[in-house]
Amino acid sequence: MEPSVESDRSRFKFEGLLGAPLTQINNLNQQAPSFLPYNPTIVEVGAYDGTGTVSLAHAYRYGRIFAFEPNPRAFDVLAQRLEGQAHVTAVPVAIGPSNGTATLHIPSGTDDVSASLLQHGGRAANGSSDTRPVRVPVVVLDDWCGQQGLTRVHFLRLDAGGIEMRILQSSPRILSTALVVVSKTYLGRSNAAVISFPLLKQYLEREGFELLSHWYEEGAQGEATFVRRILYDSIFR
Amino acid sequence: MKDDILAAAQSAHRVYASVSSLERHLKRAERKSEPPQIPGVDFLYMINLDARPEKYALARRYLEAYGIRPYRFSAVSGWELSKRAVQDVGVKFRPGMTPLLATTYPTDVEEMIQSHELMEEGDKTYFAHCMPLGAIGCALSHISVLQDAYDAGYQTIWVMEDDIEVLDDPHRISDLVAELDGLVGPDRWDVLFTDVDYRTAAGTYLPANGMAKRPDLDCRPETRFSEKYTKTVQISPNLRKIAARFGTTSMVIRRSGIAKLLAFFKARHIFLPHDLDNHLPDGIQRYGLTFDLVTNMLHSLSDIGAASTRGGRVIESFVEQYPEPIYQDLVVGHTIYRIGTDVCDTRYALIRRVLDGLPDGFSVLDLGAAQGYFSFRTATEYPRSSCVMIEADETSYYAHHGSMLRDLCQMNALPNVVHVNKRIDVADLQEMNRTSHYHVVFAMLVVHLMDGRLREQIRILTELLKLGDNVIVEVANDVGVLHTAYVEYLSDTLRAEVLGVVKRHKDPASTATGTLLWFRSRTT
Repeated sequence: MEPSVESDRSRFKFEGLLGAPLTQINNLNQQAPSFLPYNPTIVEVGAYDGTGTVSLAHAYRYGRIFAFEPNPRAFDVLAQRLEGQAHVTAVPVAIGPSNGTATLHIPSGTDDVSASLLQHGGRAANGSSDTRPVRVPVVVLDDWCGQQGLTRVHFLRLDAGGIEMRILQSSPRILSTALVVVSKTYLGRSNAAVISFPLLKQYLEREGFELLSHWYEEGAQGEATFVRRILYDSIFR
Repeated sequence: MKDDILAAAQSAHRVYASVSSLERHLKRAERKSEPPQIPGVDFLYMINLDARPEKYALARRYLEAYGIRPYRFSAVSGWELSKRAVQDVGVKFRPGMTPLLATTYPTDVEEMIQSHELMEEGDKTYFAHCMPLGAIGCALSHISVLQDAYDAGYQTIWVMEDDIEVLDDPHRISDLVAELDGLVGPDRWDVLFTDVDYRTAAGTYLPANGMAKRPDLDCRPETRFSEKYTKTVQISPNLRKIAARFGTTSMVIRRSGIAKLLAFFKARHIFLPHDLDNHLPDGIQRYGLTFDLVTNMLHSLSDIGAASTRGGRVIESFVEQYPEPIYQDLVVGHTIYRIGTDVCDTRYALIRRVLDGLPDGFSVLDLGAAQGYFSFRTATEYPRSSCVMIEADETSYYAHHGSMLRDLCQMNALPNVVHVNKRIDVADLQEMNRTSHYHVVFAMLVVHLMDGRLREQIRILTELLKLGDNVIVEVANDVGVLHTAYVEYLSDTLRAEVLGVVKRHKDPASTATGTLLWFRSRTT
């Protein structure tokens, strides 16, 4: 039997300041627009098949969006979806903590949404045991932005299979320019290499952000929106 | 010749540049004609967008019931402002200001689009975070009205928005102004709100707990939440001194207040929605009431940008569809729109005495139901009751009462109310007496309209008294006087009870009264 919307809603927990009941907790970008200029530079790490990218592209017609997706199959769909969107660039590389190449562990079957550069005991970040390794190029976000002449990224959106915090730590220059960070969060214990949400929150608070909202499933995953403290204080304090 | 044109152009530019950039975008009040209608108030303004005639139609009804016709000020539509206007009327970021997360309307794209930015660019125009164009237009409308009043030399004005609800006779404002003059002195107050506070859709008050941030004012919490912006002091049973509050639905403003507000906005420009900005001028003395006289309508549609309720749109469209005077207040769901020309609440309070004594599941025949006020209230408050309303178009001088009631029935969708759209006579009543009987019959100021001849009126009354266990008949002191005399004679004979004598019309000049008589059948 399909779970009802109500039971879906009650599955999710919330912490933070702004939140309304949700039926799904992926691509929670809806709070970001209130903190962004009309023409932001957006970096989406882990754009997958572009579902979220397309909505960003529509919302920010005057912005520049860079959508990174290293999974070849997903990238093909992404690139196809973004055809004709001149202000969006799809980039077929992984963003990581160092430059070079790395193995992307792609879950087998059709559910390859949780591909990750992490491998732990033959499991991908989502805990699935059957993965297919693919070598992919990896770049450090700070370095890539430097090469492109990007000095500022207003909105960072991260869904990177458990290495989100490492990506941020390895790109302090770009992080220091960001106004909003939306990141996938991890609350389970299935993979020790995955940085848990409390650590990510601590780190971002130290870097000058405040948690605006965090929707999550107990013991599993969630998505959190962090806002630059000066903006948060301007509105809420 | 060319030099003359150049000189004229330069002169015009100098004049233009000497005017505050905000002043250039104030709108003129055209074709003012309404005379003063409330002693002590020089002019009444109602701010209404040209695009929202139905809101004006509804608001106008509330006041017309008391013989008041404010001047309709054609509001500034924020959505139609030019890029130049928006840049001119907002706050320019300057050194020394507090940088806030604010909203701008970028000039480098054609589209009027919001951009949310931390204030950092010198001379760039900013508004409060997420401030919609509608709110900018609303503020400009209020400031335009103030400018018009100032230029006209008015000492006291009453400014209303078009989402008012009138809960009592607005002529009371004269006494309240006099009371405030007496309490604090005529030169010691600037603004008098005609209500307690802003009401939410649920009917609860929404108090402001401090000052909203403005980059050109002290934004420290100890200032924003200080007594200056939060303290309210009751100074009499009717009046309170107030600080920050939400809503600008209805305000009486003194010339001193007009001057303070104009000086503030010309120097500092618009940043916040008008209700959050207009308490900020230095030394402004604001007062409010301890009761709601004229206040914001609970289910109004916002023109600022917020979501609106469907109920509001329906009632506004209804009022626009029927431009003639509406006799009774309108009941839709649990909301009463008190826009009728006649006093209904007092009458219903008298009738309730009868209803409260009836058995559960009682039946009502409402003869000449007009806008169904009594039946809709009865059906809502006594959900096990059942009401039959009889009302038709072209009855006497009421052309559309039947159609109105049909529409109101649809809007209410009550399962225990039936509308019979028919003009009935004695023969119909006789037929009804053969087939039906009611616990209570309402015949409020209706018998003399069914037939002008006393003989027929007596026959109608005879049938009516047989039709219900309880028959409530209202008679007037100024119309159908023969019928009134007969009913009063009848009430003596049949020992009917006088439920009460009520003032009929809301218009304070009217001396018309109605007497409600309660006839009980001998078996009850």
